[in-house]
Amino acid sequence: MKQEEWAKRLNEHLKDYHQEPSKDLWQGIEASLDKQAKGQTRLIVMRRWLMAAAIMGIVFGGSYLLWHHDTPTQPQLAEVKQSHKTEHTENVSKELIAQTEESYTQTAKSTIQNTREIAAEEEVINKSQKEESTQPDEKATQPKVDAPSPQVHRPLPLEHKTPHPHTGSQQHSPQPLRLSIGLFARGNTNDMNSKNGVIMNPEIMHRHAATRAYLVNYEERESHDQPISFGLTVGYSLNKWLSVGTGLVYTKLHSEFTTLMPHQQIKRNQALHYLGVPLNMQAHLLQWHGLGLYLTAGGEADWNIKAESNTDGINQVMNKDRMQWSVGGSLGLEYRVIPQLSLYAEPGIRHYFDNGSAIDNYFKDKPTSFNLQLGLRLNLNTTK
Amino acid sequence: MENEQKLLSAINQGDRTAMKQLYERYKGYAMSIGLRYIPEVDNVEDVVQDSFITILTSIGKFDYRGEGSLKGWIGRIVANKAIDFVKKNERITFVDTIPDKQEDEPEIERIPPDELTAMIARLPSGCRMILNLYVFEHYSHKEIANQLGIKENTSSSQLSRARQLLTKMMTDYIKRHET
Repeated sequence: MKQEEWAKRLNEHLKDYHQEPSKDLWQGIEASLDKQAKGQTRLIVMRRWLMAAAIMGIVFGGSYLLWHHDTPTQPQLAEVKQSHKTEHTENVSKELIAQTEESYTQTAKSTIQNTREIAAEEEVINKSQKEESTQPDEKATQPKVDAPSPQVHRPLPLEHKTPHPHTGSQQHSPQPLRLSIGLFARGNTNDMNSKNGVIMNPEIMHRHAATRAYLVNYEERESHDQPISFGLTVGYSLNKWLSVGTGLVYTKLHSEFTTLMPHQQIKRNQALHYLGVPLNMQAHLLQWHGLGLYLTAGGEADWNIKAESNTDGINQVMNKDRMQWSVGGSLGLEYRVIPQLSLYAEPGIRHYFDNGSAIDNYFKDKPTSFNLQLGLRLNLNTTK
Repeated sequence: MENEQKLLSAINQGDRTAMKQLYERYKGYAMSIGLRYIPEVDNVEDVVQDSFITILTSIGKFDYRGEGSLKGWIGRIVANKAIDFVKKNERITFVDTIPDKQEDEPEIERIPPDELTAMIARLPSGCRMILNLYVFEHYSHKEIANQLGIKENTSSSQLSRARQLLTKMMTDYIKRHET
């Protein structure tokens, strides 16, 4: 008897054989189902908490950076105020006055508009220095009480010039942080894609008779779900119209491959998880009240960090996909809710280059696709 | 008894009674598959229990393709779980020895299905897996070779060994029961 015929007879003989289990397995199955249901609920709750924590982290992190960015100017203002207070409330010694005048002179020197005042001040200082060096100590203290002297008048120009230290502190404060950080979600706007095909491989058709009969309606289908991405971005304004951005993007691809035979089907689920780093250039076209219109273009490198394959409920070993390059562009519309926070929507187009791997996924099936990115952006540039 | 489609619909809505009904309907079928791969009944029952948990938790992904398709899908899951179990718990060994005397092949149909199933389960692990994959899962030798990481020739020769060993066991059985 030929191998194929023998196999067929063996198969036929055991086809309808049933053997009851020696014990009831249902209780164990039911207990496990209950446990999994509880676990899933816990997982959903945990995911919600993690998302809330991430949002809070961004909000508070951004707020901290904003606050931290403002603080350097405050000590300078305090110092100035303190020096003014001292001058008004205490009897000022000549040394202190001289120091104040010196510091004022240094500040005044930086201002062209006050050239004349500087000259006048220098004369006064020179005069006072001469007095200090020539007059005995007893005399030096007398004019304070008796008559108006240049020293008494000195605070006046200082009072008059109080705005200057302020201006100076603004001019010398560090450049404002022109950073923005953001969170976004991106999904494709194409219709769900699927491919059908019938296998006509002669190698498979040369199987034994039973299998050949099986392959009459043999068909393979694959369908790829829309990719979904979540990301964290950091942007830096080069000037009023241009900015660069980078970040970290997580993308998940899910595909389903179905082998169809009469009365039987084999289903394989594939999930690919990518972590990507984008590099984008942004051109701000229009800014009107709280609205902004901009163009974004750039590239992204995605690394496959995890690859999962499951055939009929059984996890299979799967090799990771190669690195995936892509380029894209989008038109963005931004609405500034408050000066520090804006919401945006970016419809765009992205092209994924063939990475040469044998792994079928959405990127290979639909190399060029439209997408919509929605997100929020925390602007750390307060002076803008 | 409800047909597969109605049963599926009820299960997808979370109906526990329908789930139990599915288990009751296919537990015997699932056991018969497991028993071809794994000799010990206790281990087979563990595999069947695990298979039904997988079936019931992933049934939402199953695409109904007509009456019988659900049974086929369940069979595939049980077979996969059983293969997994054998791979984890047994060293896959291939036999080179051929029974001394080449017996004339008895009629397969003369052996009761439960006895024949037990005979298959007693085969050495390597040729047992190959026989199951080839005869009952309809794998080609090339596919078996890929699945088990062996050469196509090994798959083909081990199937012949399995057949010879089974022939010997069947002949012995018939002799025992005829006398």
